Amino acid sequence: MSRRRVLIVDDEDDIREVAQMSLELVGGWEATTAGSGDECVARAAGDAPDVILLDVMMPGLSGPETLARLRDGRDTVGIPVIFLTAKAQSSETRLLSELDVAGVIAKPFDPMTLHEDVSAILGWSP
Amino acid sequence: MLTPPIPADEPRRLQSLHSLGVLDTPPERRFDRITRVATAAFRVPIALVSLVDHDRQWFKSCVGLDVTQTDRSISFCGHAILSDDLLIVPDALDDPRFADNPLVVGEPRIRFYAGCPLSGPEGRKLGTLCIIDREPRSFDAESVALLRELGSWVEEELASIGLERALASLREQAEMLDRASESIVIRDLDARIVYFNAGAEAMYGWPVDEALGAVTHDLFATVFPEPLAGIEEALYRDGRWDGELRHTTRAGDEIVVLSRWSLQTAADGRPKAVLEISSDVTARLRAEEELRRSEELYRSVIAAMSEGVIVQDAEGIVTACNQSAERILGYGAERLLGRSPADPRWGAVREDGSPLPVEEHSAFQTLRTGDPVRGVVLGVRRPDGELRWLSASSEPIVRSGESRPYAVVTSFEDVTEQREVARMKDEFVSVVSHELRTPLTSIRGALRLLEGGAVGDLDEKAQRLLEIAGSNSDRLLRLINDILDIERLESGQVSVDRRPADALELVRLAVDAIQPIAERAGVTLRSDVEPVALVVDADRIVQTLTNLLGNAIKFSDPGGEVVVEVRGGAEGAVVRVVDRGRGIPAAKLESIFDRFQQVDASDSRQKGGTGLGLAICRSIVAQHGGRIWAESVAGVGSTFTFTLPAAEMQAVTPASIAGAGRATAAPTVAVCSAEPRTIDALAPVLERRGYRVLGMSSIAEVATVTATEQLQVVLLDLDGEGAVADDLPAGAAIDGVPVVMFTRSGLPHEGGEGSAVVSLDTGAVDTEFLGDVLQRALRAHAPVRRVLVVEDDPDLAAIIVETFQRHGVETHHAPTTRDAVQLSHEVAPDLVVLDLVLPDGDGFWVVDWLRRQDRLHLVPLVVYTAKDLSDEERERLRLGQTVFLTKGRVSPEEFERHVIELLGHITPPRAEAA
Repeated sequence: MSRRRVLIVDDEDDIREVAQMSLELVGGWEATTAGSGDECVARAAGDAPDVILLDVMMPGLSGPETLARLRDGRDTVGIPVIFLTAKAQSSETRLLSELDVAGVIAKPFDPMTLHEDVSAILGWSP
Repeated sequence: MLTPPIPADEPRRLQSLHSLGVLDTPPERRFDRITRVATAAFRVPIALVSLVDHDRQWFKSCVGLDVTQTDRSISFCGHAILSDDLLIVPDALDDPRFADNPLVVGEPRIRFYAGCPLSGPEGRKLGTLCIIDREPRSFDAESVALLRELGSWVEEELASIGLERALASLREQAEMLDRASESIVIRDLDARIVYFNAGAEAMYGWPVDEALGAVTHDLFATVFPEPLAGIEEALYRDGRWDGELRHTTRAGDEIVVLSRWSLQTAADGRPKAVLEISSDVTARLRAEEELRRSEELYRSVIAAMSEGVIVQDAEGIVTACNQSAERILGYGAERLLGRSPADPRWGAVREDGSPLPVEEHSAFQTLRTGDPVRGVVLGVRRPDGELRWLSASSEPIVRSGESRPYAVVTSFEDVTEQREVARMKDEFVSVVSHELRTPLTSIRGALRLLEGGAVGDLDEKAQRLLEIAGSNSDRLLRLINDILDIERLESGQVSVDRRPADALELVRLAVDAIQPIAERAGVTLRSDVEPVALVVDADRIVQTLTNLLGNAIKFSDPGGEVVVEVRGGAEGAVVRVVDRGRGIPAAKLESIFDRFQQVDASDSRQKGGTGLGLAICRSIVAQHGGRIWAESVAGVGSTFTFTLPAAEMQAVTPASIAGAGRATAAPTVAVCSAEPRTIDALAPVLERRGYRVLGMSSIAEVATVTATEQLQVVLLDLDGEGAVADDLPAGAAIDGVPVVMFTRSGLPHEGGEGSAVVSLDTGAVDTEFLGDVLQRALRAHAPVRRVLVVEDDPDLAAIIVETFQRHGVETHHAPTTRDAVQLSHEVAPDLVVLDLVLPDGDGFWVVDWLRRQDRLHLVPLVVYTAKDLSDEERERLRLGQTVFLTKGRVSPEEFERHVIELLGHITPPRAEAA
């Protein structure tokens, strides 16, 4: 099977970079990044990644808003989305998980196991 | 014979006769001597004082006859009373009225009769004085005059009887007046007392002989409510006056009397005296005054309260309210009174914004149950449409002896601002949490990547620096988490989610979590736990235990021991964590539970604590209604104890402890490792996930076991001395049992697609990850699974179907019981997910049907319903392995996890699989 292709969306440059390194170096996946919701929507339609890791709190389009755009798009409607959030309150996490997402991963995530967490959520074999 | 006619005034005559009260009384001298005089004077054998009653004549006095009465119809006297004149019958045989009278023709053979009619006090003819002879006689005028004279004498005696009776009755009345508790005073027009009853003596204190002749107004020092002249004017004009007077008694006490005066007049209509009847109302007035004052006090207290208060009758109609109620609700009293809280104009809503049904109103709850209700939060609309949030409590008002309240008092406060503050705080916590975690995510991520060797090997010094940076970023994260945790706990925003749990299970979870730390510190953990059924927030109690155990380990020396102990009692559970550490000074035993109050300020740096752990523990225990404290002996060790009060001691069955229910036959996992410690680390984790664990040291051993044990999966350690898996190709199976190979090196193994090699950190096993790995292994080796989803809600059904399909499971959907039966028959599912409420019947029926089918009566079942099921209902629904999940209680992720786990546990019999 070809390498997993992931789109990482976060407004924090550092987090994008850490996540990208994690998935590429540790997971052996192919990771691309987007710094905003708009960029994510544009990129996702063209790249058709296997999964999108989407930050929740971003200026401009928020995570849930970006998710809605993705679901409206003909080419992006079926792409699994996993929220990345630094919100720690269980009520917030629960609300997020009720949206049309495959799962929620809390920040700070462990870069050594991030690809496994994503795989577990999506039922991919590691 | 002529029967005597009845006189025209007969009723009044009889009334007059009876009122004398002389009939049927014994003979009296005063009448007998008159009849004796008559017989002697007129030389007759018989003389009578005869009184004519309704149908008889009765003799008050009688000379010469043996009878005391005869019939009126044959009487002579009946005729005599018809006229004022004497009745003279010289010879009865010559008189047609009497000739054939039985008293004439028979005994006493009357021939002569002379009767003088007798008038009573009111002038009615009551009877006669009569003389009788058995011979005819003539009766001259002189005799007539004499008989009349004697008749007058009888009349006088009768009159005196009447007077005596009147006197006796007056005497009785006087006694009654005396006995009356009211004061009765009669005074003349100069106000001099002429009558003073016993009631007056008692009320004022003067004996009657001192009072008589005194001037009333002076004696009583009367204070009039208006000038006396005005009162007297009214008295003379109307004949009466009443009002309240102040009097002073003989003892000098001032009393208040309610006095009724009436003017007595003489026969000519001129006033002659004044009757004053008075009652002492001092005590009553005082009581009324006190009542009024206390009512006034309560009224002003209620008026001054900042809480709104409304009173409603049994129908819920508002009958009273205070000013705060008007202020909070924004309506004047005139618009509140008469209104019911059920009035749609309130637009009352629940906390979640949905309309509040009337029966949820605290007042209506109280009216319905008779019990007080506290702290119901509701939103109401003010007239300007503004929504205000209230916290309302209701108390029933019940009359003694009755059980149903006749009214209800509801007090409420405006919590709109408090809610706003709480919301802002919540938001702040959320923002802070996010803002602090975001940079930490990058820092920790970068450090972990470096530390993990993702970008190449580092020299020892660099590695050490990274460790320092890494452990401090971990500490910063813990600090942030703890601060947020305690903020939310202490602001009461986190409500404890109580569910049945067993102490054994909670302690095991905590020990599992802390075990790696204990091992690193070289400290032995020992637990001594009684199985106590608790109703607690399991996560929070595990957090408390983990904190306490972590502390105990931190302050123990290598080689030391930490004991966790749970004892159950009627009061609940007592949990102790005992260490043999350096101890806590007595002065600090209390303060260590405060924030950032460690025994030694350097502890936080050296031991990596946040200084908040014990404060969090105290909050959690307090929220459960328990208590926490520490005891310590310096150099010997410390004991931390907390109590958990017994919630309603409900019977907690093992099934309800497991929550979602656990598969009955646990699938067996063989853990194969040359390192016994690896087996010890994995076994508890696997057991907790419902697997039975067999420890093995070599593949050969596994191979022997497969002959006798039905293994579902083998976990094979690739590391360690004499690597057990050297001779086994990746992805293989042992006797048809799937093998998952794992490495403890922390690095991903080179493995092709489908190879089941995973990286496990046996120091801190990721339970979820391990569970997933095992399930995938089980699924990979199982034949295609078929699941039947019986669910009428199309959206929910689609989600469930998608969930299964994501896991590679063949899924069929039945929206009705009919479809359920049809599809069960056709596809013979390996698992049924069943909703209970269906458009054409219910799930119970489907279960009954399945139970009757040979192939399906043991099919595993997931009952997924919005209904809370009773134990009895659960029993009725049980098929094979049966799991009950409640919609809304179980998140989609939990549902998925439970169901997939169940599916993973299902292993078709080996024969069929082959």
